[in-house]
Amino acid sequence: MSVTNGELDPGVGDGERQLVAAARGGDHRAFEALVLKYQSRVYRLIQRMVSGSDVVDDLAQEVFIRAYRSLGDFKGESSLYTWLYKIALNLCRNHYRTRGRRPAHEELEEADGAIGLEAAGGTPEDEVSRREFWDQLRRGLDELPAEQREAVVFCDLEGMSYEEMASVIGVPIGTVRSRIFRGRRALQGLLAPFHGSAAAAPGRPT
Amino acid sequence: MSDARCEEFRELLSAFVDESLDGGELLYLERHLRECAACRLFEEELRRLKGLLQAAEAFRPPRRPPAGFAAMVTARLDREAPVRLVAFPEAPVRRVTRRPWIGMIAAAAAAAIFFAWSWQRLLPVDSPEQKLASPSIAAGVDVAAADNGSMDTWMREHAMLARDSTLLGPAEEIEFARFRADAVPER
Repeated sequence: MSVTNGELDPGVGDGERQLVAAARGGDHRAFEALVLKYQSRVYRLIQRMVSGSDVVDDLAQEVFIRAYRSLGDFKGESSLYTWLYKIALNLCRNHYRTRGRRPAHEELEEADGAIGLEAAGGTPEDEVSRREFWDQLRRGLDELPAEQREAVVFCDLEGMSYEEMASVIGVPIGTVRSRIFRGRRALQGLLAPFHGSAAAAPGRPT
Repeated sequence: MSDARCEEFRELLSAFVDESLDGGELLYLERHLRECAACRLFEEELRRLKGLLQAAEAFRPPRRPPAGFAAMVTARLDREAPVRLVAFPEAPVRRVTRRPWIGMIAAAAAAAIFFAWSWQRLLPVDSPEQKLASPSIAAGVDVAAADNGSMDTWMREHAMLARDSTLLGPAEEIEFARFRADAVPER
């Protein structure tokens, strides 16, 4: 099976199958075990797609509530996490539609404030550069058409294979390839000051 | 230098840095890369961008779910009414659509057949209808082929019966009339 960010695709193993069967039978504790297993992945994906702590919390919770309600539709033909990603993607798309024109990076600034960037360490100048880079990246992702943003996030941030992306997004591999290319090309211009040369990357690990 | 021809290689290059190219496309691109400095530079830029995107979360790690997230989800489920509970299928199950009217039609047809059979049994043994419905008529051609000598006798007998019968159509009436004219004496 494929590898996602160094983690083996779990597929639907016997233990997981039993948990799904029990959850279908109304066992909420069995479902809680599944939530525990996948909550970090789902949470991380949603943060990559949208910004704002409250929005991410709500969407992540909604992913699992919807998953529970539609467990009857899960046939076990794909891995459970791929199926959860599909649900998460649909909810993120609904969020884009209802959010209107408000860019996610504004939500990020309001909701997250100054947290996070200092985690990478380095000098204050490095931190400023990182913040600029992060803001520019968020702005760049926001400005991409939704389908290109999804493709870039799945490929470059989630580390998914083209086959996995085709399955989750529901399009042929050729379409995935084209969306990634167009998304990267648009980001190239926006992030040029950071990726123009290897030395220009702020605080980039060497 | 980059030219219009390079444009077709750019999308291939994007897939190339993801190690998602193989076969003919890979060979085609590698041959071009050996000759084209502009595309080699583009490849280098794409790799830098990809590395930067992948490293982005080292600058700002994603937030982890809040403590008790899973318990919050199940607490919400506990508050809700139970949803449909179905078994986890080993294989897709083919759904069968029930059509209750098929059974009703079958029952009506069986009743009609039984009624017709009962009515047949109640008719007098020598009635024209019963004789026409005899097994020898049902076997028609076989009877004639088996015994050509008895054909005329058989036809005459049944033409007499058919004369008063309402079971025959116009074509059969003409055919039987010919037999009557040739050989069947009037009663």
